[in-house]
Amino acid sequence: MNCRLGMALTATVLCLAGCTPQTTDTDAARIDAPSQYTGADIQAMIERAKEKVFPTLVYVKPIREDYSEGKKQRVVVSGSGVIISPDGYVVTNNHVAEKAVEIRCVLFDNTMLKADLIGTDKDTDLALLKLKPETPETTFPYATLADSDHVVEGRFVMALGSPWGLKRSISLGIVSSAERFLDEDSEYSLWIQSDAALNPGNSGGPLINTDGEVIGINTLGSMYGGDMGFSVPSNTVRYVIDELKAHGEVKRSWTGLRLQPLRDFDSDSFFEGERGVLVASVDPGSPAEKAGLAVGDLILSVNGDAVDGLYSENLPRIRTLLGRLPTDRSVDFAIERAGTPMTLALTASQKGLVEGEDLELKRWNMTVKSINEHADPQLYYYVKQGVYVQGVSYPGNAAMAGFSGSGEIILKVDGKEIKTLDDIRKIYDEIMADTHRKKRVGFEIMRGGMPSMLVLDYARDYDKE
Amino acid sequence: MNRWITTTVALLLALAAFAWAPPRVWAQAETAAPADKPIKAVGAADRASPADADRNKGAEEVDEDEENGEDECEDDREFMQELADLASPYLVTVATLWKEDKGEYPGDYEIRRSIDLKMSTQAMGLAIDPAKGWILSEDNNHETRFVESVRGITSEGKEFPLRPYGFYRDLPAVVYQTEAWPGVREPLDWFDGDIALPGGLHHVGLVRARLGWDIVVALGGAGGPMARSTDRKTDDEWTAEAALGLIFDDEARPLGFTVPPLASLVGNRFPWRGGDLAKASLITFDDFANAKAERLSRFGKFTHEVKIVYRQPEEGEDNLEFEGEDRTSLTQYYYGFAVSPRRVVVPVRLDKIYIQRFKRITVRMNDQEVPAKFLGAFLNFGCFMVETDGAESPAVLPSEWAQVPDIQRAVMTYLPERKFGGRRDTLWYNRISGYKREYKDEQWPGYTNPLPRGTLVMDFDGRPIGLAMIERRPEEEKKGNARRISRDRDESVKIYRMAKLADAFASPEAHFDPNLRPTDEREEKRLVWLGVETQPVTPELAEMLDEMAGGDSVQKLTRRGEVGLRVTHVYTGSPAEKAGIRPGTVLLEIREQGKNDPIELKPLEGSYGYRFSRFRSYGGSSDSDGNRSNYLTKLLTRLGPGTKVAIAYLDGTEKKSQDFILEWAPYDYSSAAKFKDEKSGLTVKDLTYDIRAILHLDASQPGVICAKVEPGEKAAVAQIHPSVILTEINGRPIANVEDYQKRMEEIQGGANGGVADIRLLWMGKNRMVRITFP
Repeated sequence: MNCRLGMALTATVLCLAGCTPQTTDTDAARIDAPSQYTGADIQAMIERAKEKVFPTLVYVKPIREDYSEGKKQRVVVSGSGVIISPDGYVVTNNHVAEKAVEIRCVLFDNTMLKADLIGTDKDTDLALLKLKPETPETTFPYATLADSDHVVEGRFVMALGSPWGLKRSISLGIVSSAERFLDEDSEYSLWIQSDAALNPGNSGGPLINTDGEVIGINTLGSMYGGDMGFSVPSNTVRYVIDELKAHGEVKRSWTGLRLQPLRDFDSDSFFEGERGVLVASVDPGSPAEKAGLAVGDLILSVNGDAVDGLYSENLPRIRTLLGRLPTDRSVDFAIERAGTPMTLALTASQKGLVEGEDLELKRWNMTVKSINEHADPQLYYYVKQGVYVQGVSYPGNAAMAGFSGSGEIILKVDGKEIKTLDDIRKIYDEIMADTHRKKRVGFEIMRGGMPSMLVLDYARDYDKE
Repeated sequence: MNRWITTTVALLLALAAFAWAPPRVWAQAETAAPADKPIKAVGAADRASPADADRNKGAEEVDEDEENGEDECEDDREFMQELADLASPYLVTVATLWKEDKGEYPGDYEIRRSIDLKMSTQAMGLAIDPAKGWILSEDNNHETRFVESVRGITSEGKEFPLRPYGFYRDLPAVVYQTEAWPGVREPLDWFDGDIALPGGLHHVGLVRARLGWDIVVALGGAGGPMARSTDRKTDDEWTAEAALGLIFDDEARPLGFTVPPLASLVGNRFPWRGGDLAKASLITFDDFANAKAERLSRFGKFTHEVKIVYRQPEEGEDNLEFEGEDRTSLTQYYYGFAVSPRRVVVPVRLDKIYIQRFKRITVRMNDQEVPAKFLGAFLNFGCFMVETDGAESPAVLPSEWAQVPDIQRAVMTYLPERKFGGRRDTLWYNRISGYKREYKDEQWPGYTNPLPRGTLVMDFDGRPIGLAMIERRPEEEKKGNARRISRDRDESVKIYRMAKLADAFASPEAHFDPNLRPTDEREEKRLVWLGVETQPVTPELAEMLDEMAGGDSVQKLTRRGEVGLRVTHVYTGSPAEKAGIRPGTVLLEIREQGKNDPIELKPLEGSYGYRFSRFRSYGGSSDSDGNRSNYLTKLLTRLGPGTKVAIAYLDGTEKKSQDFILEWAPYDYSSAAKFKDEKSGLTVKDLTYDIRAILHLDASQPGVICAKVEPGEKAAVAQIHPSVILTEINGRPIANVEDYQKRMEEIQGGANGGVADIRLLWMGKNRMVRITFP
């Protein structure tokens, strides 16, 4: 997952091969850290914090089913995680654990255990695992989550994990920013930015304070060798984990609203007012549109709660608020439109899946995915319900037919309309079962907004070659 | 009389050859046989040269002679020897050393090579007047200013200096003159009496051989060269073997001479009898040079420099290519002739895009640069006409023309050109070398030296004969087969006779090509459309379509994917839509009304995936560059708006045909109205129909599209990027580019406090930015 922040920075996901943990004491007593430190104190403080959390560090090694190269293939990925409960719940990143068919974890004492994937949340890039010990009564050392609202810039922090798959490592830094807004990655949460070294492999590991509490989950790093790491704040983690535990997913509501702050430094656009947040966009057919909200409206309160979107940093909180609206009844939006106050009633809907499902069409040497409103907005713009080609393998039948695997929307196969993954799965199975037909399929696709026809010849079996 | 006798090398089997080898130039050939070896006498039919193969067709009867040959051989051999002895004192070779002049080469490649290699070119010569020191030689037609020195060598090997003296008007020969003729004193005793053609003529000439020159005697009779050429019905050129030489009769009397390139003697097409020489009109080079100044001044009065400034191409567009020293400049100089006081014709062929990019035209008249406007470019020949705003030419092309003279006659050539940063006029002469039957069976005269386009061909009194121009073939151009701009001395340069041109110049409107005219940028990019996007039919696709529809009509009509464009999209309101063409239709061929041959739609290799519109949505499309020059579009645009065509296509399983009158496409992304908002650093364009189609925008969607953003300027800061649509300013929809410009200018002038709240739309999502102007 690459993300763009501002002009020059590119953060990237850290996720790589693992390390071997060492044995220490597992005593998890809390230590209150003094607020004034001397050099020797600092060393001792670090030691104590480390001692608390090291035993809870997990080296996570999932085997993922990947569909991006035109074939379903298994890839071994690795990252880090932290045990947060005595019964073995492990927090890690979504991009470490997603689509895993098997997850192995190596604990602090070199115990290797399998883990179940309890749930993931793509929007916050978090995932919850549960260790599967030999004996179900096994208890694990666990770390506690602090209140990330109390994180202050300048305080010492440590990042624990398995960068580049090296043995469990610890790095030291300070909090660079307690409320960092990253353009593409701050839908519901801000980030804690620190300069503790983060490298691929650190993903999913904890960022701890000098009390030995987890204040964040390390998720993003900087590509340019700078000491900039970004962690999901523990308060977000707490909420998400609770949801994942309870429902296996994070249920969010969807309004179809896109917001923009009153003071946008990035685009140098400064609008009047001190209160409220601006509506940038209203998706067609969305609850917001139905409620009558329009572009340019200033939302002052939602369901009685005042909203203030002065700066970009304020937006995740508002979006979280919107994401927790009830879907069974309407709530009041107090707005101002061209100076005139109005109240509109909005009934939010379920956000639903944030990513389409994958399917491999083996003999055709391509993988397809269902179009998802949130994951594929540019394809969704053209086709609301459909399937697109996410990858083709080289050499391969789809590649020879002219598929490039970068977003062709499949409209029809053999003349039959394709709306869902099931549609195409069914047709594929039918065609492949029909041994008498010519080994050729006609596709109607849409590429760049324009339709076209491709003919896929599958006489060659590239798998066998 | 001295003579060297050698036998020829076996290659030249047939004829007896007498070679002389002046020591400095040629090696002396050793004889392989004693001097009294019998000399075989035959006609040219027996020569081993392949070039003679064709000519030998008419000479089978010679073989009979051969069979009888033995008896007659002796006599013939003696006779040949006698002729050779008579001729050889008068046969010389002429060696010319060439040079550059003022940094210029002569046009001929051979001559240029001689200059580079510092070697001389050889030619044959005849001492026609020993007393005056005159040597007659073939006319290579090169300007004498390129001659460094000339040298003659007699058959005895004596060298003497020569200078170019003059050229004959009515025969293809020049005269060199020497003060130091070292050869025989007596002139040839020409026989002037009547002779009976054909037959009975014998030729003694010089032929290039492997090691030098041979005197070759060719006896006449039924198979002799002279006789044979009179059998010819058409005027052909003599081959290189045709020797410059003397013609004798059966009594060994010198009758006349031959000069290559020669044609037949039938009908006495040009002087060849010895006695004719004295009467033949000889123009000395000195006289010609002396007349030059007056002539140039006279012709200069109707010759004008036409300066054309071309429009600068836009970013990403093709640059125009020019030749010559000004090739990198957008200002080009041409030369034309006034056909009326205000109208000047410029005999240059320019491709459509050049004419479209004419920005400003001025004519240099009476030492002043006067503005002029483009009237039109001619349909059938490479020439265009301009008209001055008011200034008048001091003279016009003389209205009294001369006819194209007979072959081998000299004509005067006048060519104004741009050289060395200014105008240079070349005045020289050329000769009609023959006629070629060409395109549409017309006969065009060929010239000894190819004439560059733009040359005015006149007689020596200054009466125009014709203009050298590049031929245009509009039919080929339409099909896209025409070559691009030809080089100056291309074979497609033809001399258009004044008689043919008079009409066109007097009433040019009827002769202009309506598709060639200057346009502005937007019009230049305008295309002719049917209103479809297509994809080529491949063999696989043809099969697949047939499977789906049943039958085999697709494969049959497209010849398994060799022709055919499958329609993938039909634009609303287009001619295609009105005609009922829908996606899935396979277009097969286009036939222009009145033409027999249809143009099959065979997209070229590599046009796969090219689209009509150049617009590609930002980051979205995985397509190739959306090239708008797809095959169909190019073809339709070449055919031109207003052209009546019938388009044959396959609709389902039915082959249909419909008539269309081709029309301009609406403006598209490339030719859309646009405005560069300097203060914002933003270029916006209208939402043309192709953008709306690609972005699936409603026809009612207001706005303009961002085409370009200057880095660092206000729009860039506001994070507006190309492809984003600007839909509203300060709460009101933007209708079009004009509306945008007006409102932005108001705001930039202070309205609304200099604040522009712009609503942006991209892929269905909106955003607002605020740009403030100081």
